[in-house]
Amino acid sequence: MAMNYIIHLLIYFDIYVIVALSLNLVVGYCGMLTLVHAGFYAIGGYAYALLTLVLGWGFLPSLLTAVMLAATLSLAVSLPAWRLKGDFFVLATLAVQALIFSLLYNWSDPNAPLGTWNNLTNGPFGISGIPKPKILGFTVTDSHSFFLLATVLAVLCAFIVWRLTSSPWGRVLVAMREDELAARNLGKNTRMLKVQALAIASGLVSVAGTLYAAYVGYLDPSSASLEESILMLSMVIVGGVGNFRGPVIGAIVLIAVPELLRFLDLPDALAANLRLAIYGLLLVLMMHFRPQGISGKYRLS
Amino acid sequence: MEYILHLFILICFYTMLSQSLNLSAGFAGLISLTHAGFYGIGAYTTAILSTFYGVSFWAGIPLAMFISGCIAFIVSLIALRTVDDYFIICTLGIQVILFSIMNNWMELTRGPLGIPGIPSIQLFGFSVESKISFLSLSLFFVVAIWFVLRNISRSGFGKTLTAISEDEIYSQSIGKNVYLSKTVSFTLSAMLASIPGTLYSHYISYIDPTSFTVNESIFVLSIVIIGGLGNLSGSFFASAFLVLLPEALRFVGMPDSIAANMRQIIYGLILVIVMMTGKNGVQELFESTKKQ
Amino acid sequence: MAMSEKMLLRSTRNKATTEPPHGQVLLRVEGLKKAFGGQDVLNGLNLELRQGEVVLLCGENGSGKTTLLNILTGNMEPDAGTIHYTADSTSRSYRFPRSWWQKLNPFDHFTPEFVTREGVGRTWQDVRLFGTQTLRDNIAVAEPGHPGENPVLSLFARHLSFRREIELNRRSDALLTHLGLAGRGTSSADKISLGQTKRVAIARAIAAGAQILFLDEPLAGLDRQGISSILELLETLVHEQRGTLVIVEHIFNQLHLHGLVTTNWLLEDGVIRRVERNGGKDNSEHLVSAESRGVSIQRPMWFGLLAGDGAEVVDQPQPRGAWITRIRRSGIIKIPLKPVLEIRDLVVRRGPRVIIGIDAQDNQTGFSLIVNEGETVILQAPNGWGKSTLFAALCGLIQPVAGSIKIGGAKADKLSTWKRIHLGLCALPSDHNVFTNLLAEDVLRLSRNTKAIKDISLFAKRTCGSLSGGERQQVALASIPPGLIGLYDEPFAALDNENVHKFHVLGTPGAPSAQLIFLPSHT
Repeated sequence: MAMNYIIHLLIYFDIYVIVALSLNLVVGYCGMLTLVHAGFYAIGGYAYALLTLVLGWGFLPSLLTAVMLAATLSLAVSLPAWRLKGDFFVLATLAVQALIFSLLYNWSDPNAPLGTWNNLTNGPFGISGIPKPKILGFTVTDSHSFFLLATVLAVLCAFIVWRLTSSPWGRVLVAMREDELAARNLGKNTRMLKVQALAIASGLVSVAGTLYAAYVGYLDPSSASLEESILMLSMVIVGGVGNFRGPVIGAIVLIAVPELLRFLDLPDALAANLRLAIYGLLLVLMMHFRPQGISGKYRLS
Repeated sequence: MEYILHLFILICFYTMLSQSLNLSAGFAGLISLTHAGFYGIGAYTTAILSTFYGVSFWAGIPLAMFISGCIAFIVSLIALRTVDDYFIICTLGIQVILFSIMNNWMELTRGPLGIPGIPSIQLFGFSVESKISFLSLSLFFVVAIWFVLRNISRSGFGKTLTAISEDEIYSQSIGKNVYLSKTVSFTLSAMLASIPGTLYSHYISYIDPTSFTVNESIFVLSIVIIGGLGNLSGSFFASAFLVLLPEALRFVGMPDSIAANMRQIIYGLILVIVMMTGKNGVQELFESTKKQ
Repeated sequence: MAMSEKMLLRSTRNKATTEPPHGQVLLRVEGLKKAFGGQDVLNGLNLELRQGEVVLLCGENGSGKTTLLNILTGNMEPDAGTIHYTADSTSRSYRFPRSWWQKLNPFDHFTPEFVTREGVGRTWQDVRLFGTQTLRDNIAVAEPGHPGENPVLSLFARHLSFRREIELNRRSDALLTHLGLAGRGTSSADKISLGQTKRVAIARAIAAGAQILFLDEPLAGLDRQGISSILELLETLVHEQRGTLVIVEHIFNQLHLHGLVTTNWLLEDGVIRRVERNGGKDNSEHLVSAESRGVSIQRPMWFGLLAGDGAEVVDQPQPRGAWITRIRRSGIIKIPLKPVLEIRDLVVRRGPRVIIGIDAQDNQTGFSLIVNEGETVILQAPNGWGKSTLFAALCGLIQPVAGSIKIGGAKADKLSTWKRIHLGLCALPSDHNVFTNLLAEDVLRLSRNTKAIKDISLFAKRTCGSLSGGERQQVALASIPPGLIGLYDEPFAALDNENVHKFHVLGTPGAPSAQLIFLPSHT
């Protein structure tokens, strides 16, 4: 029992490590605060759910399609980022976030079967019965092997992020964050960089969304809610941005805190609701006292 | 007819909300996402006082303003340490906290159950129950808030806020206490936001936390930005536009599920386009570098 | 023909004389126009730049030197005119105003990144290195056409960029060694001295493939040693690779450039008035004479207005080329002396660097200055000396690390700006003095100077954004609240004599009883 609980937490940790590392690519390396990350996370999950449930695809092709889809849709954020900076960019991401949520929530019709053009998402009822991952004929059913799968994917994503941030591409990204105008005067196409960074981050976070959908087996629009985006942003900001360690620490802290609440003997409903308040509080406190996060080497603005 | 009156009343509410937010966002440049929280504080104060303690409407408004002002003052002490995009995220966190309090403090707010049976307003022995009378009352407050805000914007304080949002350093060097002015404008804007809150709870007679979510904050902020930062009548027209848009979509025969998406797309597009063509962009990037 | 950093590395100095430039045309500009708020800054400007030319761009303050620099490097769009970049084998022309389809096409924008690819590089007055990056990365990041900057390639085909990376790191390190920063490749860019950052910035622009290099005050703020090291670097560029430079520099430092410069452009009334080409042979005299003259003090042209007749004028030299001039006019100066502003042992840091309170050898000595009632004190210092930093510290915009500030006898070190203002400080920052959306009279009302509205009655009802530079400055000067000590950062930059006189009159009767004026070291 205890073992299963720990495995469960570890799977969540894997998922959120992917989320935090990919968000760090945007927040930490580009210096752009975004609130749309949960939207792409949910798009990944929904793409996986529909492809496996309706079309009967396997895990890997669905995953790849989800990544491609999220990366393409990230243009909705990266194109406004060409001109919008600072607070206005945050607002633009909020608008896209609200749009994605609305699409997932409203693209439904009780009379049409799931997965048709009229009822793509099943609206507020969500999609249930999402099949377990099927890889090369082998189905991942128990939580131990799912943990293995999640860990492999998390390590792969972490490797991608590490490899990219330590490459010349990552170097230009940091240069852009430090001084966009100077980077442009060295001939760097910062518009293209933003498009690339946001596409990569969105693609990676859709992997996490896919994992989540496959693990829980049920998905509803709340995974694309603003609250989820706030949770993701607090992870990165609590942990610290611009390096590899910070987001991982942030993911651990924000997964651990609500679990610790369970031991405080609070009523269940209250504990679930308090989670959000704690995320909000952490966000405010970090902004106030330690803007560089627990382990950040770089202090935003 | 009743429904049209209802829409007009909604337009009144959003006009008050967006104009009050315009004081901090438009004039002082404090783009905040906590406004629905203060709206909710006003609504809850009124609901609790009038339902459980029988406090009258006229006594409820100043009390709601006072409480909302106190909380806004505390919030501003925390949030005003940060600037620009960090200020937005900070106020977002505070909005989430305020919502959680409304949603979880069972003893005070009854949490998600909400507060039912809020009495209607008694005015000079009349009960303001019909839509038309409520609309008249709302219009009175719209005009009152508009009047107050217009006078503030033309007063020295309003000019000070404009000055601060343009150039903090110059404002300081002509002897302006930047921090104090920002706090005052933030607090004042929260106090004004509690007035539509009060009206709302009397009007709907049942409130629960879902009316005061982040999304409501975002909606009000979009009204302000679409109407123009620092433009009071713009806020009015944007409120009317954004409230009536779903009706217009329904009117052209669009099914609800598509209309909801359409609405979001239209809101988002207008917002982004307004921000792009407004005061931001490469040129600002350049100007900010020249200042350094 | 491109100046490559490999050639830059050759440290043997070629002493051959510079022949007059007859190289290929690299840049041609026709009919360039630019206006700000209805004021023409550039007005049909034409120019031509040839390979190997070293141009010194001269002009009054506010004559549009920086605007021209920004336009030619793609940082600002002109209103009209044509710019031909012919440095690269593929020449490219931009005609302004741009048509709407060109604005829609993201690959045909007039932006710094595209102009840079035509072989144009620039440096900034405030340097703008990438602060948290290492020095090696600061130079390596400039590499043009690096395959590793494609995320797909750097993810799946690392071997393509691997060799190039090793080579790049080696070259960057060698370049750093040449710049006197051997072994500092992994230290972060905000931990080196100003002179070193300026050299790295030049190297960075060259590494980005610049054939025409625009230098915005490359010598500003440097001591003698820093200046000579930059000059050495520029000389290597010019003499060995016939590099093409356009330099904007303040008159104070222009003397140092004489051996290098082949062409003088004088920017006046929005056009290049005069082009002087000198052979360069006889310039050594200039250099010598500049050296022998050393640092001398120049009086601003309105000095007489401030001092008047029969004033006692005392000059005191300060470290790093600054002068303090004290003017005590009889009748206004109070005996015994009563200090209104006391600065003692002030040390101010900007980022990791100490700016104020060091001597020429970077020893931390502290900066002290006392201004007495009735005195006018002028601090004349070269650009980059730290005047605006000192100004910010005195106003309370940044906290000094050590030392004390007293205003009118009251300790003011820990006070916020507005409290200092209420103590009697009157401050006018040079770059923060316009509220574009406010009416001129509103600005004066805000600062409680309603009496001064009649002085600006001609434009009191207009928004400051629509005023000309001189008018803005008048509003700004009039907006200073009355007090004990007036603190002005370059107050006369955009004023003509008549208005300086007005300022002088403003200064004497009611408001501030003493003045501290910061000026750049030139007329």
